[in-house]
Amino acid sequence: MFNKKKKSISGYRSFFIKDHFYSQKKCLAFIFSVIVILLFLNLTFFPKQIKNTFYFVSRPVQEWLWIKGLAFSDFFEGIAKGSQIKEENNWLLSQNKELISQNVELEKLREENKILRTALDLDLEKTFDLKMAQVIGRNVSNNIIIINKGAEDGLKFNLPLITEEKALIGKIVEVYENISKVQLLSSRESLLNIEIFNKNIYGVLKGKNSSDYFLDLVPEESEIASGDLIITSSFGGDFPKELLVGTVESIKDSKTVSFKEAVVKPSFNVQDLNYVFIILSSDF
Amino acid sequence: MKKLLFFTFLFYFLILLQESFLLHFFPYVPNIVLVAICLINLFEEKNDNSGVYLSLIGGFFLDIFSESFFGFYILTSLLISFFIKIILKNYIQFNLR
Repeated sequence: MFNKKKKSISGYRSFFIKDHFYSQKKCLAFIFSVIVILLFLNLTFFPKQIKNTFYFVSRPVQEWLWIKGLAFSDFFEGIAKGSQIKEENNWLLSQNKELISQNVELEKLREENKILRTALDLDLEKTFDLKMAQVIGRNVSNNIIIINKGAEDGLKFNLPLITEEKALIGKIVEVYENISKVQLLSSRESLLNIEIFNKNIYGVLKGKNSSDYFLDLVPEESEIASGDLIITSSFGGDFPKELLVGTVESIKDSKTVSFKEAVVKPSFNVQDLNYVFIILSSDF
Repeated sequence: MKKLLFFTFLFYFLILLQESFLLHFFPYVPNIVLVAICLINLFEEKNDNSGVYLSLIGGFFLDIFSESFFGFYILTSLLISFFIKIILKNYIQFNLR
């Protein structure tokens, strides 16, 4: 009986020894061979082709899921925020009265603006050659979005994207046949020359993988204040000049560095991005 | 084989759901495919190795929809799978009666 028990224990042990996945050497060899295969694949165009095929197949499903997701989230948001909506409604009613009076004033300004627009030729379509695209996916890190236009629609690497309000979103980093990936300005890899509107102050805007941007390399003596409007600089770079980037939220005075730093609030909300415009060419 | 096929389709569905649907509800969505890989490896039988193959498949799908270099998630999920297997084998005992 003792022998039988001993046999069963040794059988249990031999099971793990035989088990090829848990033996250390074979486990390491397996991982090593996977690394070698992946390294080899990364040196070829094969991963891009695989991605391209999957994006092509997934595009209709992704579009459908994106639209359904929007509809469902709107519906549940309505239920979850019922009482808040009621309060908001009351507030909006009071605001509405105020806005009616402002509207009269705005009508006059609109007329003035119309004349200025014609004079300065500020229309988006006239300034840029644009292509509209729908957002069909967003990476979990919130720094990459996927749009439903690709190389077939004339999109290329590094093309900038804007919202309908002329706010800069980011640039294209990967182009596939029907789909492209866009790196948002909030991404850590993003770097941009900027200018503070009407102040002749220049600096560099960096993304830090958070919802806000960071303004850096602004000379210490520069007078920047929260609320200052930030636009793309005319000093070259990948982006056209005078695109809206954001507003200065708070200023950090560094004691050690001879530059000022500031936190910048983006001029668009990534959660609200549904349609974007790709600047195919511009006069910059 | 049936299990592998089922989970391949499940992973594909989960990644599409994660990338295009769930983002509307939460500002930051957890990587549900990676969570699924962990759960499969945790709860599969000791003599079953399909968790390792499934982590390869899951990692492959994550790599397709990721901006990092191809293979990053394959290696990550594979290492997670091996790590769970080794921990379960060496440090956790099940009281079988």
